[in-house]
Amino acid sequence: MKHPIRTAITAVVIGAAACPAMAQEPADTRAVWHQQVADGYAALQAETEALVSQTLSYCGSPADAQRQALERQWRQAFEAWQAVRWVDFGPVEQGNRAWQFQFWPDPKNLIGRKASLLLQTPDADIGKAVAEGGVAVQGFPMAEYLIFDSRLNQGDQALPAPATCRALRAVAAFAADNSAALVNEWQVFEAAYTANELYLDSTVRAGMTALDILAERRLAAPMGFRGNDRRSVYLADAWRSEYSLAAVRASLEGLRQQFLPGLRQRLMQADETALADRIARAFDDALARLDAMPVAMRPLLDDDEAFGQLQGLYVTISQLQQLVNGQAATALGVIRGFNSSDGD
Amino acid sequence: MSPSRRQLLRAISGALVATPLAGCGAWRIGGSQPSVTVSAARLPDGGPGAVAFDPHGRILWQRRLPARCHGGCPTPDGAGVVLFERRPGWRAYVLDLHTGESLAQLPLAKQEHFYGHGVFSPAGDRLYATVNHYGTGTGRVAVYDARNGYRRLGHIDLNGIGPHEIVLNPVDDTLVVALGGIETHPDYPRLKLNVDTMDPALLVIDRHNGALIARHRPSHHQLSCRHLAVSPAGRVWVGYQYQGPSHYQPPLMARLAGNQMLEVALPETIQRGLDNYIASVAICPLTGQVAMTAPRGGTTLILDDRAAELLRTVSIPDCAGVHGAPAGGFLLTSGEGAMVRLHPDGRSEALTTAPCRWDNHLIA
Repeated sequence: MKHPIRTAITAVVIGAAACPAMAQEPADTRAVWHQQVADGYAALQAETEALVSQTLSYCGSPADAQRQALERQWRQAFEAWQAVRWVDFGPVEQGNRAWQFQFWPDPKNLIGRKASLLLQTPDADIGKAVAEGGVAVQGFPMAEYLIFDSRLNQGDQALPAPATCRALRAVAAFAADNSAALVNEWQVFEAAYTANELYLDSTVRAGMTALDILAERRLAAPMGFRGNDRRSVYLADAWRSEYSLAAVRASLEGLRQQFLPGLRQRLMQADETALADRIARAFDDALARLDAMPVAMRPLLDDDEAFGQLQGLYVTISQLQQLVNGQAATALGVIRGFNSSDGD
Repeated sequence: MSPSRRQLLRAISGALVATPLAGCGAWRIGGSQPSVTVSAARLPDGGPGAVAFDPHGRILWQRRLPARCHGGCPTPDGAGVVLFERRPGWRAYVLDLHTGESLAQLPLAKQEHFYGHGVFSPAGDRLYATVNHYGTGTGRVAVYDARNGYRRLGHIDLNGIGPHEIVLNPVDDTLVVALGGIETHPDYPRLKLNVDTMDPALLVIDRHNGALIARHRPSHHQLSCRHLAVSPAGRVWVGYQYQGPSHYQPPLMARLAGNQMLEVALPETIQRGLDNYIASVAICPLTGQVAMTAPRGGTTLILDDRAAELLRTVSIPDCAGVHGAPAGGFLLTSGEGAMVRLHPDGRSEALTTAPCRWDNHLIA
């Protein structure tokens, strides 16, 4: 499968790129970033609401076509989350929201254990069970488990079993409510964001951190480049839905659409237009590589020859990481300190 | 724990007659400037370790360690230093102060990890360390017999979550604990499990019987009390890390005054640049001035203890480790390897830039 839903996501985000704040020079860079992220959150809200609707449709009339539409909608909503996942400041910081959307990594398979409990919860209590059950039950990985987990799908509780339907409905509704809250709170946050100059650098740092996570934890770790030299798809995200590389692509696309315009503006103000162009090309290169790859990571981990594709991707993303986290950060004087970025 | 309450009490408090020797947070009475300072660091090869240096910033030794460490304290005999791994800390070492050689390792009870700080009793016979019992999510002060191979004696229950830095008030012989209030689990160490229901505090504990003498709560439940310092005169200052929305600007520090904890507000222009995060606190034993480092804002604050007023700020990127120099002023380190002396008259003197990244705290 080759990214069947990319067109829809790209359309949403390209629409965002044409926002008025972009057109006016010299618009405050924070205004540019704020608008891009607002559009990303709006897309997330729309996609999570669609996931609720599609769950109701499928569980109401469980035909194959509806099942495929449900799987497709989970992937689409997950991609919308991946696109805004780089934002680590503002309302998403509050109440572990980022964790609520995506509890990851999950080395102890808490998702699987919590799912068993959730599937035993009666209908009257299911909303409360999700709201109070902690971050492992509240977001995309739990919905992914309920839709895609191979062991669950071989048993009696496979969708459209009533218990699984009601759990999925509640999880999707929680994510949709969370998305709606993000949309509203991000608007409220605008005044504080544009008033505080610290956010100029912390927004750059958010993009840098996202690239680090992408390269080191979402790619290098499952590829066996960190630690024990063993490849393991379970260290990637979205392995149950076989969508790990599509998720990587969605995050890169989100960075290109939401993060890069503001970064470019700052680099141009610092007379670093050539560097901004190189970064834009590096994003294009990485995305082009991903376009030629499967959406799942497992086939590339299992086959030594195919593994070369992953290595190529890792190198390309490392180069992008070096351009942004090294050269651009230096040019802008953005320091991501040893203590300031990871204190205690 | 020991079988009787009497034995337990004796175990946790050690010798009941205090002698004026130094533990963490207490100063060598009438002593000269400490000759060796130790800090956790990221070593030039990128790995975690500990580094010792002299008052001029010259490196004396460095030692590779299996995991990143955080804070610690010098042993009362002046021959060693206790260094704790960073949360979730599985190990704590006693290192030879002059060679870095490992002399001992501190045991943990089941389902515990260290939080990164500890302090000796005035007589030096007990070591108290903050730990998390992650089975129940509750904070403890673990108690060790420092004169018998750091045998674990027991613990003091704190009835709270996330104890971090601990100091000993040399005036009234109490333990003062910054209770961060944040519940974590080692399986998911960066996930804060209770940000909505945090209940941080500054705790004053009778170390002889484990009794809670005072629990001072900050003005907002998301103001995590994390680091603190005590002066030879028993003055206590605490620095916060705010867990709420980053655009709010609550007070970030407080001092104990009698039975009250009084928060100190900063001018808005200063406060805005701190990013709601204080990393280390130190008090100069000579002047009583207080230093607070704010690495996210690249700012160190110097305050007057008595007037509780800001005296000046010093801009040093990623500044974190700080301790009061007995000769006056402060020694400061940064994640970029900088080592800076802040003189009492306001001068800043760059000593050196080491090829390592200094971690959160200085131990001297």
